[in-house]
Amino acid sequence: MCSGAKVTFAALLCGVLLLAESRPLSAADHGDMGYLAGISRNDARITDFFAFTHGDNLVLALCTNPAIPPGMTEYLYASDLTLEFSIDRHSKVRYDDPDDLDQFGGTIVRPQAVTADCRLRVTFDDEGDPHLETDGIADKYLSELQLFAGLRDDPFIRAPRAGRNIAAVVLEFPLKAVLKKDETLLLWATTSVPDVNGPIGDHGGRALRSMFINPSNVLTPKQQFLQLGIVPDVVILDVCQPMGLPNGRVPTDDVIDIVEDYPLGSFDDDAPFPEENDVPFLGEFPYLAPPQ
Amino acid sequence: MPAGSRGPLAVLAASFALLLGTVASSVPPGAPAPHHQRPCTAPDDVESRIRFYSAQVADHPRRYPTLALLGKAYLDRVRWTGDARDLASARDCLERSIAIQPNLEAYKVLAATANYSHRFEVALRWCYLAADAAPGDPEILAMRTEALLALDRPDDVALLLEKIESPVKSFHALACRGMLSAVRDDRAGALADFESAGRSADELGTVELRVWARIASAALFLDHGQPANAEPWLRAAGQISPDDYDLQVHLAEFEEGTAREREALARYEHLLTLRCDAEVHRRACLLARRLGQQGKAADHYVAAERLWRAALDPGEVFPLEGLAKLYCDAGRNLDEAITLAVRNLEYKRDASARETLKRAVELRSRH
Repeated sequence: MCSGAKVTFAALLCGVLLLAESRPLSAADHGDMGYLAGISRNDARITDFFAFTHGDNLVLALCTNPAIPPGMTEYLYASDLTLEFSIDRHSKVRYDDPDDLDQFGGTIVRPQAVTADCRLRVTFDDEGDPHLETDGIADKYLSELQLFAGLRDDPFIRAPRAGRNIAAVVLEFPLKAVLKKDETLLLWATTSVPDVNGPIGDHGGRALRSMFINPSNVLTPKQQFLQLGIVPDVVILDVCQPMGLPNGRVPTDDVIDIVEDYPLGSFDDDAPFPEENDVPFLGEFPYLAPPQ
Repeated sequence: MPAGSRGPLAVLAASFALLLGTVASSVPPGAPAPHHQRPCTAPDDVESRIRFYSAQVADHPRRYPTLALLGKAYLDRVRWTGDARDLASARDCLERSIAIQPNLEAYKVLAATANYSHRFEVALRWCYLAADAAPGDPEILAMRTEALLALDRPDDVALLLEKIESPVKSFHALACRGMLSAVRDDRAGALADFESAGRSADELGTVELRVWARIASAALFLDHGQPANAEPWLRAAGQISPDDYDLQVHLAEFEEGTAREREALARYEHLLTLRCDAEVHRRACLLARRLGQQGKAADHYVAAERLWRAALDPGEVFPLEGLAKLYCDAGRNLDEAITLAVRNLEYKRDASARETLKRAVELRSRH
């Protein structure tokens, strides 16, 4: 009796087939949460997180969904997706350790105390219109806040992301809305969607960190330190220093070149390496290039 | 009945046909219901997903990712129930999802649904769209391979593998190349690839993939009538996941091949308490008939035929080959078996499909 027909790929595709293998091309948190892909929520996978200042403003940009079909000209965010930007403005950071400075942008003095003082939470209604809620930010600053949500060119400059789009939420608002005494902010972003066994999501901090250390993507920065013993995955932003990795992250940062502790070593696949994004970034809000 | 006037197969077929007419009405009180009357249900986790996502979609009908997830849940359910309405529900959810916004998730599940329902040309179209969105996705590679092999296009699989992954080293690519080698009768090559796929799956730690690779290796030997060589692979799969459904099916084949037919039949019947599987009913019918258990054989025959007919009548095509085989096994409805097998070749053109037609024609010519 021929059994060949029974050994079909049906068994490969039934249920959740998570492939835990890391993909070298998925750098800079480029949709590294295989679990989200495994349960078919690519729209909640973080591809990039940027944090920088522009003049007197703070700019936060969260890119998601590495699997948007080419040719789309509009993007509808799902109404069960929550994107949250978190800002810790109380943690002290030292800059006297050159290794920490290179790898993380500084040394967080008390990693066990990293918590959000301010939060900006973006959700969407059934028509895809964004709604913003904030914690720890005075209302008087919200009138100056700009919010963009929609398709943008993928800012990751390496092939094969050239010509591909992602979904981006970009916020720009006065720096003084979040900055108190210190000049340093710790920033990170998360996504969350409800699922049968409870909410699931992704974490975006400093590029090329949490994606390689399981299960840091599902832990808060404080939990990452307490449970895994790793430096919390956050962006350290000293607002008085020039912008660009390791200080914050701007769209033009080629993280593969810059991040010295990239666990997978050098990245030779698309040599000669591109020097810049295939589409120029904008010099003004929302900064990320228009979709292709 | 003299052997010269009608062969043993015809005699069995005649007595079997009589039994078919009586099996539905002759269940003693207190006895388990015949297989064709037993309800088909899916496991709790599938049903809870359907409930959860259905509730979400009821309140938020434009939530396209949830529609895709609901479609996936219905596809998972049909693997247990064999109910064509679940396939229709899956398609409906997925098409609604992409109508709201094209998305990779719905494309992939549409491809999987098309493969399941033997609409392999359709599956390829969905795979192309999915591959556009996620070029390196190994599950898309696997689905394309499944569809291409079913359409008897092994050379296209070879080209695809060369284009997507060279050298081949990931689990899915190894599994695909192994399937290609098996179809080309390169058993040594297939075994080497399945072994490598198994090692890759071990590194990934994914139970389903680890078991699949071992079962695939075992199947190479079972298909060639060498059950003894299959045993180590089946044992290895059993150490990883002893209750795996596909493993149990192959264990039953192993038992058949090693003259343990009663055990094989018992195993098939146990599996049928878990899933409504027309193909397993067909195998059980064959076995029961060989063992002289005509009542049981008739029960399985009716169950298989009803499951397949229930899907065929509203327009599904995946039952064509199985139903043709069922009729050939029983030596009845051979004209219809030929019709079914011919029609099957419009959708499926692999060796199994061609053999089914050939067998139906040969049997018909003898009658």
